[in-house]
Amino acid sequence: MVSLTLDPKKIFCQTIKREDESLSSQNRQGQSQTKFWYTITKNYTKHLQPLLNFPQQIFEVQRANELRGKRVEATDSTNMSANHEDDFKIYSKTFNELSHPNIDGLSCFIEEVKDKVKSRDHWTQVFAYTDFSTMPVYASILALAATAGEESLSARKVFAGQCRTALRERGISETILDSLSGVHTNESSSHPLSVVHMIACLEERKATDGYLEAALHFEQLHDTRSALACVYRNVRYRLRDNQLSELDNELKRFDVSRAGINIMLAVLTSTAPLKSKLTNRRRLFREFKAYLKKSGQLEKGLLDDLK
Amino acid sequence: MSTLKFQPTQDQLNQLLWCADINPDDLASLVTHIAELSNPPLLPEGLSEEFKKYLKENEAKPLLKELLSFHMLMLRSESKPVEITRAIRDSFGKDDDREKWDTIATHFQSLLSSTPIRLVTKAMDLSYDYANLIQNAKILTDLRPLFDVEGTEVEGGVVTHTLRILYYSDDGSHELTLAMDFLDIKRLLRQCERSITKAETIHDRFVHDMKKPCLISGKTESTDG
Repeated sequence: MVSLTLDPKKIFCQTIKREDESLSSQNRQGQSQTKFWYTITKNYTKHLQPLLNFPQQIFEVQRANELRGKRVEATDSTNMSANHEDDFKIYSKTFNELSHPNIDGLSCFIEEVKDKVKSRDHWTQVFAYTDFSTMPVYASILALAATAGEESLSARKVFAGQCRTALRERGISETILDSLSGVHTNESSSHPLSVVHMIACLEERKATDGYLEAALHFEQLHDTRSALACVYRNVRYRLRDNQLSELDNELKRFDVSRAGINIMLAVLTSTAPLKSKLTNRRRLFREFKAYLKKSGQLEKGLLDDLK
Repeated sequence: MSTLKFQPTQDQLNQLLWCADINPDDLASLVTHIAELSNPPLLPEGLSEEFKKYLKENEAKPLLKELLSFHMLMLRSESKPVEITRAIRDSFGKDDDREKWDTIATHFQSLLSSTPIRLVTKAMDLSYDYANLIQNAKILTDLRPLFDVEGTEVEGGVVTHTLRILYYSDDGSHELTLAMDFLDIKRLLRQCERSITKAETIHDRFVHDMKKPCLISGKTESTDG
């Protein structure tokens, strides 16, 4: 029975010893051989193999928020890393200044970020070193939209995969990203910014302008779940924030002929609590009822309690 | 986000630069493949085989080692993958090396946070997460002679056994020595054989019922039989 040690100090001493052995076997060109010194005596299938890399862990020096009272050895790498910290926050800082994720706001954001991130290499750094986990998902989709046309950038391909995973985890259809990934289908004719706007409508904690349009787009992509979520969520925020005039204007502009039954029912159901205060809701109801009658889809009881 | 810093050795940096030489498009394909693995393996060797489908062997092994190592660090330091890749970048002294690392940093980060890497690292960690861990064990068998009153003649002998266990715990290595007789040895042998059988029983039952992979700590294909 042989086990590998868990003792970091012992591992550290072993590592130093192995490293000396490794350095002594450098070839004549001065290049260090890729010696798997931490596997010399153990075959790869042995357990605790990865823990032999402990030296990389025990060398963890500090965290910036734990430096109280501790002397920090200033090195060139420390100063350079501080500058790079600022560089790596360009995208997140610009995103934090985004006032509203409507199409105009997103368009301005893209202009601004393209002005700051000018090269493919810089975008590679943005994808690699920006902490997108602290931002909503649509911030990531926005980065893809800003680099539409750079589909060959390898880091962007990987980043797009991460975005797909994030959308999948939230129950949003991945086909929404096809227009941003260079995949063209009949359903992926959405403008990149409208894709970002659609996802923003599902994430923002307040009503987003144009959410009904976003819901229609979701419905066209056969993502009924997201379409309904978009309607219910944003109408709820309008009601919560007492934005009745805005809601009424949205109902006024809404074109019944473009919406499917699910969206229409969602609009009428979500606005039912304050139907007496929404003057355009009655017109919407009449138009929807007429549409259903004309298309033969008016079932008994379908519109009960929604008038 | 707090700043994580490393001080790796030159050899470790060389290992990372070796990984940075891997073709980014091959790595991108690997990232997609790993993300779509439906039954991820629980052992490094299984994952290595998946890596070799897209990389050469001398690329797959060092990359996997670095990923497992840094994932372990990520867990213990409660860091995010982006902090790890940033810290790796900062540990390079030359701009050229940093730019080289940049080309695969996104791929490395994506692999670092992937489910297969997480499962293998966690399986390794949980396999040996105990207060005391055995390092070695042996049974010494010796003979104790029986002397006459004067001590000049050997009149008989007693064979004894000593079980010597070397184990590690948080405060270092320890040794435990236990005397055993013949019946103790036989009982221990039966217990060991029974444990192997129980492990295989519960392993097979889990895999059958849960349809999920299960690892017997320390057992690999080469230890079968």
